[in-house]
Amino acid sequence: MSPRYRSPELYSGAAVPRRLNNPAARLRGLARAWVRRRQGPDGDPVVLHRKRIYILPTALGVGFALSLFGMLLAAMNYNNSMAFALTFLLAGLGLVTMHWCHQNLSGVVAKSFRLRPTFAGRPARLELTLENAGQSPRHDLQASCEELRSLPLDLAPGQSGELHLELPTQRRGRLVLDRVGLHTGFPFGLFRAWAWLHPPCECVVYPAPAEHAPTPPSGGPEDAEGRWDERRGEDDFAGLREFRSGDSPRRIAWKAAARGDDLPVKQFSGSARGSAWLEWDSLPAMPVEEKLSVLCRWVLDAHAGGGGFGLRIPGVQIPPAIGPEHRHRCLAALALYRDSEGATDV
Amino acid sequence: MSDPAALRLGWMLGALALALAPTVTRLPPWVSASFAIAALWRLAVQHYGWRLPPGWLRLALAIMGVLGVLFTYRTFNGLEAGGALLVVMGAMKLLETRSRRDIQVLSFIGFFIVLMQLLHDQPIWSLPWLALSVAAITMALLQGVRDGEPLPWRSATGIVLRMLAFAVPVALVLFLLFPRVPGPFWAMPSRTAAGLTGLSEEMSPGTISQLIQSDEVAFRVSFEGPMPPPSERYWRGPVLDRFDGFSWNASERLPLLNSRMELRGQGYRYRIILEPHGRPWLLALDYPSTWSDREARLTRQFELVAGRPVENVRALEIESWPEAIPQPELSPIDRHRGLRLPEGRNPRTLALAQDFVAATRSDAALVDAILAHFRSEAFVYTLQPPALGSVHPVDEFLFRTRRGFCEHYASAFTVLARAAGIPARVVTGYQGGEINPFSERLVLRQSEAHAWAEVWLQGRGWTRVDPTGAIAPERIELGLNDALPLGERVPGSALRNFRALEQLRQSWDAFNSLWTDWVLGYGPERQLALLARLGMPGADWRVLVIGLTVLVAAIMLALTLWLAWRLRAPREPETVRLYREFCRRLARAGLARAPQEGPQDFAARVAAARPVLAQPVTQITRIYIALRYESRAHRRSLTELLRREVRAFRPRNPGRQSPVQAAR
Repeated sequence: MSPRYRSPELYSGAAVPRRLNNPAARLRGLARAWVRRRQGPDGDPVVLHRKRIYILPTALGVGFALSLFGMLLAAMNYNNSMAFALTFLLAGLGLVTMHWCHQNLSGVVAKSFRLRPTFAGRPARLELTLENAGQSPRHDLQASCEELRSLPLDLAPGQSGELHLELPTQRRGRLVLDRVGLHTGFPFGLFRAWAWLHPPCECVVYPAPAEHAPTPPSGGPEDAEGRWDERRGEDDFAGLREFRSGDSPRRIAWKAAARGDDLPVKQFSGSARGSAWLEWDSLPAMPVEEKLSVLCRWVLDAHAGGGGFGLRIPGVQIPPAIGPEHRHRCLAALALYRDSEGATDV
Repeated sequence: MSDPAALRLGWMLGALALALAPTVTRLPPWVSASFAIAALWRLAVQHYGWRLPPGWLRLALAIMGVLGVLFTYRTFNGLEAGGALLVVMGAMKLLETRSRRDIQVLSFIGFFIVLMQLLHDQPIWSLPWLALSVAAITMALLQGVRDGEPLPWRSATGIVLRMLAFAVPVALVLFLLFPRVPGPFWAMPSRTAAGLTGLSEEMSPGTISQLIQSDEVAFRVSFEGPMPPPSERYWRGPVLDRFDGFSWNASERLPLLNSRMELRGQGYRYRIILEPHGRPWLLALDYPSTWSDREARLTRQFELVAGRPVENVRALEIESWPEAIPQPELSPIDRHRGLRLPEGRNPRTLALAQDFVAATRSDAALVDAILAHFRSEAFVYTLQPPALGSVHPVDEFLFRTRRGFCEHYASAFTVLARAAGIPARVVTGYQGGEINPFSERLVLRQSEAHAWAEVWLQGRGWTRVDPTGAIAPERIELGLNDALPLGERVPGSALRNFRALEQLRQSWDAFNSLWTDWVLGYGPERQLALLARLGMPGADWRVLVIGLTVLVAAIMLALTLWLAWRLRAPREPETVRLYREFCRRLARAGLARAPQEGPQDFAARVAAARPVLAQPVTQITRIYIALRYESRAHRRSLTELLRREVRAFRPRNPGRQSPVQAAR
């Protein structure tokens, strides 16, 4: 595969200069770059040490501090000991809250980062597991990526739990997770502690499948609508073979299976031929992205049909095969297809 | 009501109710009622799934609430109006509460309601109430800000209590060491003096006898060193030198510019802790020379007054000299003031004064003659004197009723002295005091309010003359209860006849006095005294700030350590730790174990690579596997063996040969 990939949405501030004339955004970009330099890339699992947890008061926390200042002034003005006592008790509570919030995140283990491939326009699901190795519970742990927030998670001592985020995508290509944040506002939302993680995590965003695709011109048991015709395939029944991972459940010979054999799978002459080639060159003249979309639809349909198929696009040729691995390979090749026209196009 | 939103709301309403409870009696009934209605409405909204009131209705209600407060108090200024406004706003907020943010705002309103109550009143139960309210509001906030399910009751309580366990020491350190800047920075709305008892700037027949009906504590005094005898315990309040024929009034309080006082005899140092009385009098013992409040000053009448009314418990240290000679020289204007009498009032009294003048040769003798007159004639000291007319009240008292309380005698004496040409004035204050056997403090109650007279005598300055002492010397020596005729009672005196109850009362008072002195009266002087007691005399606010920072940092460090300890990972079994050490030693010798490599495979690989190590490595691995995965028998001896083997295991790095080997 080609070494340079288009990045449809690189989740990285350094690589995506956004509204740099906005000073706040620029500052955030600088902070992001600084954090990245300071921490370096992460492995999997990551232990959140104290040194990489940041904490700031929230707007509510600032409001709380201002209220306390008001109370202090009132206490001083009336020279009232009990008002001082209330103010100081709340101030103590605020300080304790800060430490509590920090410790709530400190020592959490984040692991099993996984980005699931998706089609352009549909969200890519980021999954990660948090583990509380400590001996008391942690509360309200949240993952974030850009503006997205996951649901909060509570972890009992020694427990693990999964968080997930649905990252929106727009374009095909390679989706590199630049960083993911772990947050907590526990206990009162007065402070927010967070850590930035840069896990090795990426996935491929397939092209969006075309809704109306022409028929693949070359061989293959598909009908005029571009759908695989199962009846026609059944006519060419060629015998049974053993189940292999990736076989469509529709092709399992359930009757034979009921007799006690190990999941026999029907074989058809069409699939045995393995001659279904999905070819770039067979498509009429149309924009590159549309071609990729049509090819994507063909790959999906061919996979759903269960027959073997191969893919031939400029620079890449994938011999016919079946199964989800193969489907992914083909779709990834489409996702990462590069040409100069397409790169400037989007 | 198991849905999280309802629970959140329930928590917050409960906490607010607790915070509001003590203020309900003070609030106008409609304010409390509107809060209750808003709370019920909001609960019904939650329970029956109604919609929240629409925006225009809430706005209308809010405007009505604000106008209601304005009409009730005529102002938004002041603690009462501000508190009512806060409660009304809280009620309005309840009607629009739906999000976490609203719950947070409500909790802040709750904290301010607590503050309002504390600014108003600080009885001894306000401390536990404060702690309870803060805990409840904190708990409601904890539950309110959570996105998901509320925490179980037990763990939420645990979290709040643990947080408070660290917050309370911080609060204590701040309370003790936070530099207390004296005095207000700007004029704060005064709390109305209504409901506070104390002396006033006006005295007419019946004023003091009304005041002494109250058994409330006026102030407490602890002496540093000896206490003056009862006959010297005159606590000076307002001095009244303007007489209109019926009542006595204070003239404007001008500061004493140059110290016109000759100190003589013995000085007494003491600390006075005043209960709030809404007036500026600091009620020092006659005659104060130094005091610890920079804002306080001495007036021309030797009253010690504060810069602003005493509206909270106030403590200060004073030194007084009972035998000092105040104002040895009398200026013409002061003489004039001390002799003024209204024209045409009390003619018989004026005539009586002329008789005294004719019969005596000196001012001092004249004073004695007046006192002798009180003693020899049939005057009665009583709490229930007959009413006096308003035109010639002194005449009526001296010649007709002859029954009166201290204000009658002080007033009559002063009028007689003035009419006889001796500058004189009425002084009100407190006399006597009861020593609490537990706190060893002198407690002065309103029932010890008193009025006496002062005359200016050549060479002796203003001299105290207490005509009550002439009629009823027991009042001065023993106290009011012993001076009154049978059948008349001082409030609370009936209780004093029961020994056990009296003990209880005294110990409760001692407890209260500790509270007022150490908590409510804690101020800059007490701070410095505390530092001095800790071995840092003469320390200033910088020491306080440093101490404060260090102590708070120490508490926070303890908190961090405790939290880290609670969240620590459980300790691995010793077997695992020993095996890890074994692997670490092998790794140093160049034989690192791959993460996926099992102990047996690893041992086999090491034995193949370095036959020298085969024997110990196989041995250690076998013990480890036995301990980890096999029977539980001989666990202790096997662990002991593993420990010994691992400690003795020192594989050498083949890269770094020993000098002996290198030499070969």
